[in-house]
Amino acid sequence: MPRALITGAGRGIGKETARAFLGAGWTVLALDKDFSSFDLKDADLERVDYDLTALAGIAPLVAKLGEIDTLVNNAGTLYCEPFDAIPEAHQREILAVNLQAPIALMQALAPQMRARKRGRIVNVGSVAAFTGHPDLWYGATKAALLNVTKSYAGWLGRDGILVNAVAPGPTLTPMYAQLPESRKAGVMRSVYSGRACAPQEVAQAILWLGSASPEYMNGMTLDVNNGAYPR
Amino acid sequence: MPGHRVALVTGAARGIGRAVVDALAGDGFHILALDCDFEGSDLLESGSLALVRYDLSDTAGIAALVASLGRIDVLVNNAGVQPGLAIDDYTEAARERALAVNLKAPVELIRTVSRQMIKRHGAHGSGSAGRIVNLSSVAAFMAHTDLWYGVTKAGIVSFTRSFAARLGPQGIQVNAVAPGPIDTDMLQKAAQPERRAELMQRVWSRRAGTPQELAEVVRWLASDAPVILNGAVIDVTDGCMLR
Repeated sequence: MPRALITGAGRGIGKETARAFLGAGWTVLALDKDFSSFDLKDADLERVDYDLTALAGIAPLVAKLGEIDTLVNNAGTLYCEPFDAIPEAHQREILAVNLQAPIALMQALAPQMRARKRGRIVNVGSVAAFTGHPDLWYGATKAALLNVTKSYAGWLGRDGILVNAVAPGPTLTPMYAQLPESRKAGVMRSVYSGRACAPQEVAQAILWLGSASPEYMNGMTLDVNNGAYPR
Repeated sequence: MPGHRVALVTGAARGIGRAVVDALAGDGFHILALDCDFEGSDLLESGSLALVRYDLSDTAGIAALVASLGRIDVLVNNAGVQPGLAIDDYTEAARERALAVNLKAPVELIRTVSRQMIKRHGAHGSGSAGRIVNLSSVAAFMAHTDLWYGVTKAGIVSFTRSFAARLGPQGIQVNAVAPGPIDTDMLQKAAQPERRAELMQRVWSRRAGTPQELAEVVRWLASDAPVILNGAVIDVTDGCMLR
């Protein structure tokens, strides 16, 4: 049975992604630092209680987890604070969780995937990568994650490893609820359907990239934004 | 063909279109396989597959054609021509044919097919009214040696968004695929050898994609992709074009 490691699986898109992989017959290692709103139960589900700001512990953690066929770098954090008043601690946390931890996870998993000549990585970006964001560091880390997706695809693609990304538009998650009303109104004006995305819909796209999309598709970003930002 | 979803696939006789026929048939679709030339194609008429012989450069006849085909749930605008001419060698006929087949015909097909999709679905029905997949190309995003091919493929990206915005609220998904080099007659015959070599240099796997790989992306968009995915362009390039 193939095994997926999904970060930020405690809620939102990560939780729905865990549900989707379980439904497709995968074993899921659900990583989060907070499982207080996590209600999935399954014989093939294992919780990994870990705070990704502890970057130095990521390689030893991965060494303990065994074979991983697919990594979903979904964990992300966001604060909506004014540009000129972002506490340094928040900036450091966002950089660690949204960018350095995904890189550390890819780095730690690369050797085993290369040895098997197989593996898939799906990074969860955001439309904020293209539009900018009220949370400066959130936008910056998401843009950087899409860039890193290409670098790792270039580095690992020769060994049969696929590294792709999804860039969701406004999605109904606890993170979305944090956004200022003006930003929510702005995205609602531009989406074709007039509604926000369901986390299950992003999860379907992640499941495809993480399990079944053709191998020629590598280093790409799949926009799941319904016109919020047609680039 | 009651009870079955029906897909109209243009340029179905060979290459990517031929692989799309198999991929969609595997998903249970009945297929209307359209091409102007079935010579050398292994497609056979059956209870679930009809051959539609039509030259899409005749854009004026498309509305009547669609009216004669009956129910269409999925439209795959795959037919395309690449004259492979340098700009100074382009004849007016080659330019007009590229514009007609690559650009005007898919627009006319979307216009007419979406009308029946909406009618069948009802103006305010919930769920999916239909799905449309357009074949663009990395040519849309790069300096292409075949100018009119590049122009038409960029045009496809543009109208994919225009129609997604226009038809999305009525339950229709309009998405596109932008492949890099795919192992087809078009790549072998039309693409100039030096351009092909240059492209392959940038492909991580150093190989052309297979029509089957591209067909799987089209199948996903036509069958499985979440309804929120609309107006998207999926790059299938293995690194030869990173945008």
